[in-house]
Amino acid sequence: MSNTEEKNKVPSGLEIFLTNLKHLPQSFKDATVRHGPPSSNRAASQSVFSNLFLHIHSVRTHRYNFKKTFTMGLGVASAASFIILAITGILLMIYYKPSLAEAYNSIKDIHFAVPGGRLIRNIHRWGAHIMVAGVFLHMVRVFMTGSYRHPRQFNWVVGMILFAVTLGLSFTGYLLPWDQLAYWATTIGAQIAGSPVEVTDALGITEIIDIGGMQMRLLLGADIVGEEALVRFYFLHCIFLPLILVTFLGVHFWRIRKDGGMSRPSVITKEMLAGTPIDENAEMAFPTKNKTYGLMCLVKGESNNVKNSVKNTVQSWPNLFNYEMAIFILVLAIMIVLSYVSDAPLKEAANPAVPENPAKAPWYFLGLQELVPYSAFMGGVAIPGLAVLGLMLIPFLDKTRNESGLWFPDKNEKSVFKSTVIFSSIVILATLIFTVNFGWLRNWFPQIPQLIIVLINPGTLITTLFVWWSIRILKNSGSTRLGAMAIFTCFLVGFVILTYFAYQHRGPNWDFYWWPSLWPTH
Amino acid sequence: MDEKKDSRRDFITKFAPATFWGSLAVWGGSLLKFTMPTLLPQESKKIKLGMPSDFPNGTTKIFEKERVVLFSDNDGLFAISTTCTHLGCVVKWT
Repeated sequence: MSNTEEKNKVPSGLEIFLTNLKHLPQSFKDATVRHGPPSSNRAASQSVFSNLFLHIHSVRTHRYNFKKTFTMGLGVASAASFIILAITGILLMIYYKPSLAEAYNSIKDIHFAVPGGRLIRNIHRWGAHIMVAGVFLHMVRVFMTGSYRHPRQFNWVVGMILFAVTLGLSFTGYLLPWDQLAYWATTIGAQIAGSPVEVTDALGITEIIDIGGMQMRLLLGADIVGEEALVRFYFLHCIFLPLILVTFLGVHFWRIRKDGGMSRPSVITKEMLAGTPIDENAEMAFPTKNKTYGLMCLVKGESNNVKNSVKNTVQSWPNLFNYEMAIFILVLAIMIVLSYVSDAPLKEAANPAVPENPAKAPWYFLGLQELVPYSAFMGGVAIPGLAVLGLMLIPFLDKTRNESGLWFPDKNEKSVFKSTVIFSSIVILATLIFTVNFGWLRNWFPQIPQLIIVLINPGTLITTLFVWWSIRILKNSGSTRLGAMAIFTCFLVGFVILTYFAYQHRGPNWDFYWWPSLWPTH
Repeated sequence: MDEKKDSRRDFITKFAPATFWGSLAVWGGSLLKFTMPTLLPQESKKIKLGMPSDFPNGTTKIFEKERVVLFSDNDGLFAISTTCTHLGCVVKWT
């Protein structure tokens, strides 16, 4: 009797509270983790699709994505660099002061006085280099493996926007230390933004519409690089551009899933998948017919997943996440090692009266700097603008539905690639050798109108020859893919050779020197 | 008559979202205008360097901070900016 009485006894409010309090750690964990440890396939799937962050991937991933020689992990490496840059950048913001009086001193403090400051700053600088290189190489991979094709055209465009924003982030970060390197590189950059004045001046319409001046004033907040410019660059570097980048990065990742995962060839042999993780269960091939679907709405058309079975897929957790964490840690390790080996540069405080000679742009703009001496507008605005626009439009002008996800799937692509490398190398080297030895129009006809040099200079000459070569290949082969391969390879070779040449062989007054050690001392 | 009533309703249903996009465009435009500086916070481009009598025929004087070179010869007194019009570097005067 007394037993049942005790059972029926209603616990007091305090008792309930104390029991809840006792179970607090467990209840909190249940609410946060919401499923068991990811030891079974089912729990692993659940951990992915019940978590906002892990749900960046689908529950299962195709084994082809793990093929190291296919993606080389370049996209993940770029994203990892961005995360590292965001973390180190936020830390730098604690000590950095964006004012004319304090900017240089605060960077000096960070570098020499703040505990760990030098390492953080070095990682941020190396991270910027690695991110730009990573994004660029990622673009090369996507182009070469034909992965911009239907249905991924839109994501290619998003990728080009991300490329442009990455360069913008790097350029705006360049000014912030306010040393000689920063000041003069930004002066040149701003002058290039204002270079349409070269054309409007030649046409005599600058008084009516001064596009160059407007662009420059929008960027600098003045006609000179001063405090206004520093504040604007700081805002662009720390708030505006990162916000744009994060937004488009989200779209970029989301589109990968919406477009049916990463590109892969239609026929995948066992040999192609050697060395990738495997899930024996999935090899027992559930027929596609039996796959069940959630019905969200009724729409026309076919989803990308309709014909896919689970064959050759593995659990994203832990396989894909392990793979990505490995790349992240590798990228971080490389940055830290480089940061101990080599310090981020910090020259004397900015001095508007004494220009750096030579004032070299960061390496990814050096190729353009090689074209700028003749016409700032052509070399700094028109040609790079045309290149970015052309790259962006590739998937809409080449609509071939060949195999995606393979490097050089047929002989033709390889032979066009090889012949274009030879052709474009000869064009660029010949132009460089010619201009170094004989100069250009201005040297021969000092009174020549600038408009003629704007139109006829090494940059436009090279671009015209590249376009002519690609159209020739397009005509002869009848394949838009091979035409695209030609123009892209030209762009790639041009970028590499011009960058190398400007980095290694240009000295004071932009004169030619075999090695920097031969530069005159002054 | 009915037709006329319907088309008025159509007009309003189309007009309502148009007001949204229209006002957004006007507002966005005004925000862009905000970023365009009208007051240029920089030193005046008119600089006082001295009296003409300070520069007799044959003198050349370089003002590093102001980025100006002043020289006078038989043709008169000349002031030239040492800022290059190409990329904004400072030209060395010899």
